[in-house]
Amino acid sequence: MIDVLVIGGGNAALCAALSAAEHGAKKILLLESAPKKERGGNSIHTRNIRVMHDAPMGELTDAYPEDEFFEDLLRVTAGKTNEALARQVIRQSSTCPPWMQRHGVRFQACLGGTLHLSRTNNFFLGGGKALVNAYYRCLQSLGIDVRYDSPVCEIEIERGRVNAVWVQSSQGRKERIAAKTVVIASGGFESNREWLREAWGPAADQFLIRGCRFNMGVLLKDLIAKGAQSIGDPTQGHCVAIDARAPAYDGGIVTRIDCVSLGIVVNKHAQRFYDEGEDFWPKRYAIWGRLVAQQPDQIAYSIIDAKAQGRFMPPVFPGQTAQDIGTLATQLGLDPQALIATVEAYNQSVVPGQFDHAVLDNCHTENITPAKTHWAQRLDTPPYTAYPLRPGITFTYLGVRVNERAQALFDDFSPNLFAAGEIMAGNVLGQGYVAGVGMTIGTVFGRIAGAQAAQTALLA
Amino acid sequence: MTATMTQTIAFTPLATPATDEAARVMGICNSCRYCEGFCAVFPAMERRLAFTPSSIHFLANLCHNCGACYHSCQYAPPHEFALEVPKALGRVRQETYAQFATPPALGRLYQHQGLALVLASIAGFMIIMMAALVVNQGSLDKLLSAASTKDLFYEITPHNVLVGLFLPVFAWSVLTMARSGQKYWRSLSNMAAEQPHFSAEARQTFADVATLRYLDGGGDGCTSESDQPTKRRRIFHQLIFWGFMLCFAATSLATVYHYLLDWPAPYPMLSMPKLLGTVGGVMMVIGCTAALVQRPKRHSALKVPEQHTMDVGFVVVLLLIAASGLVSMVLRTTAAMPLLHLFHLATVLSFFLLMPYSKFTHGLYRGLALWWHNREQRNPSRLKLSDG
Repeated sequence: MIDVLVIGGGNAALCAALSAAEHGAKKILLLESAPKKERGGNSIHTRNIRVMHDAPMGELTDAYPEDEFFEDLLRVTAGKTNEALARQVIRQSSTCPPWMQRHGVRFQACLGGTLHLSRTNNFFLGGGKALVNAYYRCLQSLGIDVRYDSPVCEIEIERGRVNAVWVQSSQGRKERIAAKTVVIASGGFESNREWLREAWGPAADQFLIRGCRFNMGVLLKDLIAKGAQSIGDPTQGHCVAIDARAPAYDGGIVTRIDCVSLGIVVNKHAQRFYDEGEDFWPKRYAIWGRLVAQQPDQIAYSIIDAKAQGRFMPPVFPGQTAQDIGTLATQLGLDPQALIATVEAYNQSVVPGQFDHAVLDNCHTENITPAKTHWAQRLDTPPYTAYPLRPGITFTYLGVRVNERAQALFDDFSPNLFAAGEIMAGNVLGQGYVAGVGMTIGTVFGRIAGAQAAQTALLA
Repeated sequence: MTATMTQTIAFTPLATPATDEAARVMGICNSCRYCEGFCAVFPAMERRLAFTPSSIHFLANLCHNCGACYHSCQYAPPHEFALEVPKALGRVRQETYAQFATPPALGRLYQHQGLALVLASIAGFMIIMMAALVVNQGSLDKLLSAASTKDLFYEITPHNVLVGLFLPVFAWSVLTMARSGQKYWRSLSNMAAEQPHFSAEARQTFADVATLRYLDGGGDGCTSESDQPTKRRRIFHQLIFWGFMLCFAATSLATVYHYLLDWPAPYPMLSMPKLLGTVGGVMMVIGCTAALVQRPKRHSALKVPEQHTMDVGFVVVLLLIAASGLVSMVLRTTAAMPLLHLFHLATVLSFFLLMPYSKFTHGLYRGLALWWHNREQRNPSRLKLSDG
């Protein structure tokens, strides 16, 4: 019988399988629902891991102590975090980079334009897919079985004890695989549009999925139906504003539009609806998904003039450009008079100041609603450029409740079902997001789940 | 006036489907940047927002086809963006070799009929050398006779025949490649004015070339066959590169011996020219053979089928030169020596004659691209990008 069966093929699942092998499990099987070429779940779109450290460590500068990490987490989650588990993740994060390097992951200095993360986040050379590849190579060299195209459709559970899982083969056949222990690391439900619609209503039809198409939440639903205690808001997801022309799935990082704070944003009626300069974009991009989702037809347009060119990361799709606002409006399918009026009203409200995109500068508006509180410059230098925005879902918060040993909680903690990664991230990250913490939770809890599963299997 | 105008007007490479595709790919890469730490291509890309044919021919020649970016790419097929960076840049390099060749028509001809040109030129040089023998000696008898090398070497190929053949061929390849290099450099320097830091650039470029710095997937080796990095390709390439340099040094030293020390060939086994040539030849044979054996196993994403003949042809010619040189040395006292000797000389002549159109030029364009890159990197970026 299999000692440790790992469900999932992303970072947390891979860490669990490697950790199980390190802790003595002999027969380990990893079931990845995706085909080999699309393996790795949303981890392939990641690029760094947030790591606590008390002194410079590798590429990480200065120090990032436990309390500061926890305060960052407390702030973004507005307190929706389990402090014991959060501190466990934070403390153990400092042991992750050496462990990752031993398994083939390489690090690099923070990427261009991300200097603000050089202290807190360790960047993977080549990004998340390089990391995922390194871990799969490790599995292979350790002789751990990996099966692709193997979505698990059901888990057999009796009073919190898992006996087996059912794999749906591509031919529609179902196969039962019994295991002493199971680690579930199969992600959230953000690829499941029907489920998103339950939470968001018809607006969800316009949402773009930034990650893979495989996170259908099948097992999350199955576990909750079978008595697993859930955690996290089922109606919430990490939702950012991305380029409306992004692919329906797997758009990843390139679909970001980083010029919102440099111009204005209007809805389909050519009306502004929120302070574009409220704070630095990395701190605000996550609220803009929700803001756009609340606009008619879930569409908005970020409009800049020539002064902003070359000041933001290049978007993947070229913007719509025109020499005057009216023409731009026509190209976008907006009412030209309405957009001209909006831009004129905005321009008249701009109070001249010292423009500086690196600080919260004093360029702001007066007597206009909504105000633009920083980086407000008149839109007066053609050509004008517009990028269409839509809500993009990164991940969902709903998960299963776990303890410090990664055991899933039913009436009591399961003796042999462990959870890691996005499916339990809600224990630590009840809402909000801070860059790289998903990989921290996945790596730390993946390693814990694998170790605990191995030890449990060896005692069985 | 017109003549000076054409002298100073920069050569601009053409926009083609290959440069369009590479520009599309680089546009997506420029929004991602996860591969920034792998090689020179990505830091150079990040200094740009738009990609002209000139900048694409620059980036393409910085690429060493190590494969690291392909295997790490979240947008590689089956993703609808279908990014294959190594292949896209490889296709552009092929156009560099043709468009910057002097004259370009010969570059294009070589790409279509490379094998025929190689075989015809080898045969042609053998015929010329045999004709020279007939003219000098009145017969071809010597070609089938075994004798001590000392006598036979210059009896078959008199020194003035050798000089008469090698000097114009060598001058041709040096001059045409210098012209090609000049055109390529102009295309680079016309992208934007950059402040030179001559000695720092030179040192860095020399080190980058001598160590094949970027043929290593960002540190662990090329990922040629799968995502598993290995150092093999860099080792093979170094054997060929430095083996070739040793052989070149052997010939240069022999020229010095001949003219300055009045010590004509052939040289004893333990002389410097012989030692350098033998070691270099063995390195080339091992490197070329290993490269040819490894090549079919290369991942399909790292192969440009249209470039296959040119690449393989180049390595085969190098292998023929090295192997025929070694064999004619080993068999120097047998009846096989004269023909082997002629064949060896003919392959060397063919190699130099076609050098400006062959894969040899990848070293020229890559060296210049690296030089320009090392200059750019010492200048601050004109962009003020921030994600804040």
